[in-house]
Amino acid sequence: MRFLSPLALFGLALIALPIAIHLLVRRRALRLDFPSLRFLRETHSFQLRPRNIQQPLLLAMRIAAIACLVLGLSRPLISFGSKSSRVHVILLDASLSMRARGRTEAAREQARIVIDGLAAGERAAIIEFATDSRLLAEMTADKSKLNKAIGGYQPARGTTSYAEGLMAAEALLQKEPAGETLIDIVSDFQSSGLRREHSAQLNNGRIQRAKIITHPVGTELGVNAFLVDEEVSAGESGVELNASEIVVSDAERSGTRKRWSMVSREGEHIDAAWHTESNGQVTARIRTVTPDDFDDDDERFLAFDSPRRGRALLIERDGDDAAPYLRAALDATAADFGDNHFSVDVKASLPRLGSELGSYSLISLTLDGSPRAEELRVISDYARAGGTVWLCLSADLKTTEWNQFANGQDAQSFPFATIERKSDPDKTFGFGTADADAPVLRFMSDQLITAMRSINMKKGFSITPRREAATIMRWNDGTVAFASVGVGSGHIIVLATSPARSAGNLGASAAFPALASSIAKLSLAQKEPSSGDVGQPVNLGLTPSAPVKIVDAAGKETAGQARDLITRAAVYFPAPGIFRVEVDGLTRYIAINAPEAESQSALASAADIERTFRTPPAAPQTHANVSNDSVERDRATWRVFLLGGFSLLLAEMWIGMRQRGRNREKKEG
Amino acid sequence: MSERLLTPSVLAAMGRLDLIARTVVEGFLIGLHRSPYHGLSHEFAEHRPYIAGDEFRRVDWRVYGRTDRLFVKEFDEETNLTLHLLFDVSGSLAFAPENVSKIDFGRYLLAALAYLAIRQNDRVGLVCFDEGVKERVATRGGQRHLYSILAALGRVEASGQTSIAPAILSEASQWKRRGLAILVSDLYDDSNAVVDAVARIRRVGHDVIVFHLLDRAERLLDQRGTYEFHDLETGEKLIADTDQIRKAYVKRVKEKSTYFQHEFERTGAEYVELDTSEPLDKALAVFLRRRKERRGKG
Repeated sequence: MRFLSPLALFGLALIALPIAIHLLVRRRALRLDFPSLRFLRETHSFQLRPRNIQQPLLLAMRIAAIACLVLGLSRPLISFGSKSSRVHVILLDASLSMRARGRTEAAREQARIVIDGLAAGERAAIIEFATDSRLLAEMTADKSKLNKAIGGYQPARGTTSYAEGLMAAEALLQKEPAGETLIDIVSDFQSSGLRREHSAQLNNGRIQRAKIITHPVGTELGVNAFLVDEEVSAGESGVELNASEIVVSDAERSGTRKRWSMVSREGEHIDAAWHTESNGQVTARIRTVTPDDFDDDDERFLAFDSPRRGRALLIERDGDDAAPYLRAALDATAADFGDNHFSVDVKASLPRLGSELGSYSLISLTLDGSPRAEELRVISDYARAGGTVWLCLSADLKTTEWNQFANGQDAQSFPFATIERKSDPDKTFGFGTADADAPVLRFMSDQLITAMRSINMKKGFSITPRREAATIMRWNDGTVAFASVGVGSGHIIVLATSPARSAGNLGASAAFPALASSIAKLSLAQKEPSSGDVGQPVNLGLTPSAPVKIVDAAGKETAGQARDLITRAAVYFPAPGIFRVEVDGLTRYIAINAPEAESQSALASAADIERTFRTPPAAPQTHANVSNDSVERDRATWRVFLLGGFSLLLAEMWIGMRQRGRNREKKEG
Repeated sequence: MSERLLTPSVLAAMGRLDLIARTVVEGFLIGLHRSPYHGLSHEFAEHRPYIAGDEFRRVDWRVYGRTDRLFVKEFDEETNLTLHLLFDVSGSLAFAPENVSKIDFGRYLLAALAYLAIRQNDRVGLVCFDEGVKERVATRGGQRHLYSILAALGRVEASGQTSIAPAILSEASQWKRRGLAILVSDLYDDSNAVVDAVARIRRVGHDVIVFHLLDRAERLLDQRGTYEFHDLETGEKLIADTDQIRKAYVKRVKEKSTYFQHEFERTGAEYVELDTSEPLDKALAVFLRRRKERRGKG
């Protein structure tokens, strides 16, 4: 039992009053002249001081009446033993903004207040939430266990998602028997977090019937500076990195666009440092220069592939009748780019080392005869490193052997699962439907795509694309003629025919240079830095079961599968920084940053919180009392005590009057 | 019989001790004719209807003259019984919560016994004592002596502490003729000493009857609540809740009575516990029975 007005309990001292009165009455014992005290003294009971007091029933009633009245005035909050089914779920906001200016400790303190306010038999569980959630304490009535779990609360887990916290609470409550439920949300209630959708969670299951109590902690930040909108581009003298520094204060919000030129493989400035990694990626760290009140969002990490120069490599083997058409198309593309922004190199074979291909944005070759494993591995590695590969299929392709290759592990980077030669050599065919929004065709006009459909083809193949591959165009018989697949940060594109005249009119058509130009532009398209936010899924374009190893800046390794990086990203990338991801012998660097939303310093108003959670926000330090006050009012325990007290007083008066009447009659008799 | 007998509280209303004594005794004797005590009465001057075969000289002609009926006078003989009345008048005898006080009850009892004895031509002496002798009336017979005894009983007041054994032994040492000693007391004294003193009196040839006076309130402690008890002899005070101690107290009183009963019987004395709220006939009956036994021995 707890009391909302514990000072009233001092009134229990009044119980001494009737006891004293009864004792004094006992002291005024009637005189009785007795022949001898000898036998009185010899009684055993007389060895004790006489303890019986006058009218014990009346005394008991008076004591009980005073006790009831005092207890009623002290407003007791009674939970009826362990039968109480009232449960609390304490949701602690673990987003990055909770690291700002003592909010972490304030949240812990508020959670302790809620825990201390638990009545006997009430149970509670603690969940910290941000982009995802983590159970800190199972449902228990053990306050020490709950308080201990508070120590495990560590914000830095990404963006606030109240929906995530509420879903975790719902999952927990599903295991609980029906009963009164209180959800205590302890958060800084940033405006940016509150705007996110979570109404679905509020209107489902136990949460819908639960009472949500909000506990805002933390104050507005005076000044906060952070970086947004970073961009990487190839400049005249090297790589250029741009980002905007935003400064938010009570009065205003201002932004400054900043630029860093990365002219060497590595370098360091007062507000930026970068390094070119062994796989050609650049990792960088930039930071704000404006002093502010929140340090955890001042740095921004980046990992990106160096913007490639507009440069194509055409592999032209002896007897390759498709190569002239490809060269012509690529040369036309270079001319179209102008100012030496695109060049074409021609080689008789692929270099054996992938690093020799690093300066090319596009490789084009025609597959013929039997598969050459070494050549295909180089192609695959190049694509994974961000390059674009355009493959055509020569008429002399040995489909049986290529299909055997397609079934092997090494063919996973290629978009086809099977290759079938078009059956009737005497019958012409053409292109059919096309996905005009496919990246490969993005730079072609609708007219040129239509023009492609008018081309008569005599030789070609129909391919069965892999599940991960995208179909770009079909033949007019519905089979797939053109497909691509994303490999790492690059692409492999397969055109299931050859531009050679023997195969049809494709190479000679006006659409072919346009197609080459579109593919060349795709290869030069701006590549976003390989970065993400804490807690957000990281998709590397790998098969879900592919084993991955993540190494953070401190060298700590974590192993998992590619799907884990999507489903449990916060586990593998728990804090902002540069992470090295190793997949199947290849290395990729990924930058993880603080969510931009967490840097917005504006806190939601009480009205916003109330509107969102359907409940008035409680003052941080008075929540326990307010909650208890409402519970106590609901139960009306104090009325029961007061009623009992007054009833006892009335009964005592009635019995007292009857006894006095009897005594009077006795005297008169 | 109780309907005819007067309770001590009624007797108290009569005021005069001689009147009380006569009323008690006459009422008692009338009752004897219809009571189980009747067999005890033949040693007294009494009349009964004439029956064929009775000696004609024993007809009481004066009665015949008044009533015109024949009555035979059974006995009217001389006696030489000496009765020693020993009256404890210590402070504890003043106890009188509701009924007559124990000392008044003792007064009535002794007055009745004296009246009865004098009427039977016995010699009667009286000693009233507490720690020492407060009143002494020499052993004699006759109607005038009765008034001396009654006067002494009327004068004495309950006060002082009890010292039974020395007092009665001192008196008994002065008795020249063996007789019947009657001790009236509440026996708040050293029990062994009292029993020993009675035994010593018995050993020198006296019969002893001990009337143990106990008030109902004293015997049952039936007052309810907390009282400040004042010892009537010592003046000591003691606060106790009667509800708390009653059971043990009553048990203790019973134990004491049993003790006296057993010990006095062992010495050959008669022990009679008298409730001061009850009539005196029980005491008188015991007296008459004991007197008869004494005469039988003599």
